[in-house]
Amino acid sequence: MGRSKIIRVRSFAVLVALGLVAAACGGGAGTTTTEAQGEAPATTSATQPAPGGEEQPETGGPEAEAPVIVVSLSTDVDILEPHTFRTTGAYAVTRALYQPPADQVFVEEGGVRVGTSEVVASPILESYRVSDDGLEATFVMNPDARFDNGDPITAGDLAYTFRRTIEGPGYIGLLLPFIGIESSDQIEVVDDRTLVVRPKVASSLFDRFMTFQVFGPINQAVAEANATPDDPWAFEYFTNNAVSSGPYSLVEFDRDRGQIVLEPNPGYPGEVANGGIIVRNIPDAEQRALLLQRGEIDVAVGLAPRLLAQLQDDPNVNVYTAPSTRSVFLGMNVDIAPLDNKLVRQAISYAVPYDALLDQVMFGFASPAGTLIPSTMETYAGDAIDVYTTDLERARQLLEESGVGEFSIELAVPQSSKEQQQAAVLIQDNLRQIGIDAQINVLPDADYQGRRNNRELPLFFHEWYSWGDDPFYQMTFLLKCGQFTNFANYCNEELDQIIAEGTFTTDPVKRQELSTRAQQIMLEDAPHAWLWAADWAVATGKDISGVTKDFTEVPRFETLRKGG
Amino acid sequence: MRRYLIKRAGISVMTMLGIVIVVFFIVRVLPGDAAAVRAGPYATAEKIAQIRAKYGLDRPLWEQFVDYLAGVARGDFGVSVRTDQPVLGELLSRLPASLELAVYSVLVATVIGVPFGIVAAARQGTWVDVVARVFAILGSSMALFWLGLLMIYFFFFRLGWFPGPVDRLAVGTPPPPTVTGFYTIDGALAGQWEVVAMAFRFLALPVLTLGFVLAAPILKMVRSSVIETLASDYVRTARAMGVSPRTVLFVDGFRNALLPVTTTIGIVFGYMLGGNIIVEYLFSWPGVGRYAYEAIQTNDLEALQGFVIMVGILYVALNVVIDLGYALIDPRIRLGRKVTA
Amino acid sequence: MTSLALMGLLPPGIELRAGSIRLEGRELTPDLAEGRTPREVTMIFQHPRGALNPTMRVGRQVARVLRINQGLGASEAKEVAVDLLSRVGIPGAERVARAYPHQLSGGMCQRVMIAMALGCRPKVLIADEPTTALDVTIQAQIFDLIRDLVAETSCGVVFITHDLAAVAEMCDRVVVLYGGQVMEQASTVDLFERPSHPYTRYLLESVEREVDPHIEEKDVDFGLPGCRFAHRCSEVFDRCVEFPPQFDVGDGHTSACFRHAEENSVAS
Repeated sequence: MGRSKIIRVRSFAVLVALGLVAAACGGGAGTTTTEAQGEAPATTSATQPAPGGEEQPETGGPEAEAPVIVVSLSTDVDILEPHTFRTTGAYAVTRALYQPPADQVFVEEGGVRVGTSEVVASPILESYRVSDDGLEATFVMNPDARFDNGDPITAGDLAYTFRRTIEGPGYIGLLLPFIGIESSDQIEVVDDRTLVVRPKVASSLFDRFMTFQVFGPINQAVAEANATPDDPWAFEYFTNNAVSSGPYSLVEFDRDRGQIVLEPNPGYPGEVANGGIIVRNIPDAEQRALLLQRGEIDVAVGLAPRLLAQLQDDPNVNVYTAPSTRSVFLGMNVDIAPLDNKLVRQAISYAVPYDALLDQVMFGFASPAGTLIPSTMETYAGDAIDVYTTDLERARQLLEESGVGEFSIELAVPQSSKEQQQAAVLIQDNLRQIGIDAQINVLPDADYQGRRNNRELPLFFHEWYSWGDDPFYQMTFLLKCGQFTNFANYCNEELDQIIAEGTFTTDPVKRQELSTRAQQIMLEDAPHAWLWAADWAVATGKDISGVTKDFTEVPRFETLRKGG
Repeated sequence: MRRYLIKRAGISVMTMLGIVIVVFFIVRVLPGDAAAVRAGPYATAEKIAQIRAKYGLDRPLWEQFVDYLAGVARGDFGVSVRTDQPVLGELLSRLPASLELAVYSVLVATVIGVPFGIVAAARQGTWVDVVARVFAILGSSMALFWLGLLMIYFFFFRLGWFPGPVDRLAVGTPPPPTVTGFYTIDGALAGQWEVVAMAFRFLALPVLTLGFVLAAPILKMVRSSVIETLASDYVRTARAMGVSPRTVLFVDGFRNALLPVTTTIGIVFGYMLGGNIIVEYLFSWPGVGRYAYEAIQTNDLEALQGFVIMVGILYVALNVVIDLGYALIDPRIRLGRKVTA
Repeated sequence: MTSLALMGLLPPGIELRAGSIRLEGRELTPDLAEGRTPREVTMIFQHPRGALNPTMRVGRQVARVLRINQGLGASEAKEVAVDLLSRVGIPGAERVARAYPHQLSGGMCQRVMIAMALGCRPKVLIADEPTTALDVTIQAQIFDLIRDLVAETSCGVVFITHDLAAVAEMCDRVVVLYGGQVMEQASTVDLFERPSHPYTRYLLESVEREVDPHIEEKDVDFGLPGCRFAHRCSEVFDRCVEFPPQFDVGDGHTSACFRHAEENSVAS
């Protein structure tokens, strides 16, 4: 009954399948990318791909022996323009291309190089000095520092970069008042190698801002060559291209494949501990973890706490963590009833299951937050003042006192955060026990942000991390009257005054005093219930070391080392 | 035939216009503010307004539509809010990856579904038929994502038979010089046989996942079509005239039974064009599906529109090709007129 | 169904259980039960256009029959096919051979089928209502054709029809069936002049004049034991729950009805 033809067809299919299996097995041992890269640095020259690596192309350079490291970030890389907002992944890449004038001093803690608050000149500077009154900063360029196109990095380039942040269309201009910079006449090019910047006010944030990649020098000549009347700062050019002042050179930026290839920049005077970086976008975090475990990638960022907990058990994987001030809070819009009643907000704050969130949602990869100034941030006053704990009795009492009685309310959560969704469920459970019926509404991110921006959400989640890592900076953005990102619509004059004063106070005692008072106010008024301060975490292969956590918490590539 | 073609072309254009209209308005109705997403966490109201103005999102809807339509006619699908690149260019450069996946998946699905379906029909009621029908049910009801996860877990993670869901080639391997965009073809054309082998290894898991699921409707269609054909009068005639059952199956049965199956394969292929989002996301496949996923997450309207319209256009074109193919194969459609004796 | 059984073409689910079918002394039932079509028997069908493969040119369909049954080579079969087509009265046979069934009229399709049947060189041709779907004028032509072919090849024809006029015109012997059971067998002349079985008489009456209003319209009930015509028979009595044997009622003339029991002997 037509057997022979069917058998022929089926056999063919089986043969094809076997062929695939054979190919997989045959190439299996040698196809781990790390092995293939062990032989040669990643380049896009036309060398034969080598499963098992036989080809050794001729390349010069001192790093020809050092291995290339494959990294997968938490998001893809959308654009490379350094002065506009972009995805988290993009920030990691631009950090490698734009070297800030200053850098933190690092100490080793649990295998992680953690940045301290001490700031010194970065390798592209010969010296960096701020006057005692904080009103004059002098930058002297390192004569050996070069862009990857060979141009020396001059004071003129650094000045141009400053001016671009002040006058350009990017968002950085909004942050400069914090360090007392408002106009370009505060920037003075003394000579080819020397730049002076004169802030109007002294700020403890100045040093740390100088470690941000936004001040990494942009090549002025290239920028001006690519400027157009519509685009005087060459934003379009730098969206897709980079002339690097940092440790790496951009060799490939392939959006289609989600791949970026970086090679050490010979003009960079500092140390680069590896032979290059390949950034690959793996959208699904689970797959990222699997690939890491199989050794197909070396570094995975942006893994959920649950995944991290699993990876800790895997002998092939290192999980590096460090405490961080990245926090998540439950916001309460004080203009939407019944949240306009302070007692209701306090009741909710007592109802949140804080310990359960740390254990079951974050798997221990977090510290308690306590207030808007999380326990991991300087001037945290949780030892001196009472932060909220889980106390359902107290919560019920407060709710009764408020006279509001039982009510139903929307609890919106963004789709992209599994942790926030899980937290919502636990919180909903507790709220139910005190008579509040919270309706969980999972929204696509764009929708969530839109409604939150419009202050339509009564209860909302917000994750906040600022590079400034500064208490008053934090307060400004989240609770200052009229601030756009103050989605709780909270407004308190006394708090505003404290913020205004504290931002420009450098005396640590005074700062602590102001901050403590601010925390008392915020706890009393309870516009936010602070859920946790998530650890900074990176998972790597067993042979990777040198992970670095700085103010920005953006992964550093130049310190990563593979093998010995 | 020519008149048929012209008519078909006209209808296709109308269909595509309809697609553009519907997609445009539906996408605009989606909640969520793309400008806010681009503005980021330090956004202010002015910043967001600025971005909206830059991308023309603040103009009246009908004005945006007319502009968009004019653009599409020119081949300008707008600029992605997320990456600041022209959408058409981004879609076109990612399309070959999706097509390569689609073509091989449909091939595998056909290779599984057609013979299996024929055997099931010829051996109706036996264990072979039962297995085939169970397979069809499994394939139809199985979630693509779940199956994909299983495949990755077992064949990559546990057994290591296939490479992980990283890309179309191993990290650090340069793709072959572009001719078609299909690595398996371009690699062969350039004589880079290791690249071809590698491309197949990376294609294997997603193709098998999709192939398994897509084989189900093909199998069902083949089986019912062959059963129907075998019960037809002309098959009875042929047997009465002494044609052996085997020949009947493959000569009379095959060709006639496969006419409706061609349509099914076409529909399956069309589904692949749009339905790949899940597989591409899971396998980190750099195709248009993943592009669409990112667009959805960030409410990148232009990119989303561009994607849906492109899929719509491809689907319409595909249907025209199928209809033409059908007309060529089936003489009843191809030759209408009677032969006068 | 009987005709299909004769061909070994029973549909799935139905099989040949009992009885005997002999051709020229050879018992055919073992082959038929296995679904093997006997070489000596061929069949033409009721809806001629539907009975031809729509995607194959008719000339090729005929040629294929020739290759299988007469062992002709490809080009020879093509020639003989065209020849056959003109023999069955198709003008312009060469052009028609290149046509597809949907391009031909019903009558022409039937001629093609007859040509195919001829190609089989059968000893027995089963013609299952060959003209029921065709125009009356064409019908006459097809009948002529069949008669000519019988004269030429001396093949036997089993003519299945509801048309008594056709029976009268074409057939030498008649077997009357109702509900799959043989009711009466006789020469055509005998059947029309001396119908013995109640059903036969009923049939002939319904052609000639008004049907007896006592006899209702009812479908065949295959579940009934005994004679299946009993539920409509005006002469039914208690013995009819048993299926009657064939009784001799004349020379080569049998009728299966217990009414004949007293006078006649059972046919062997």
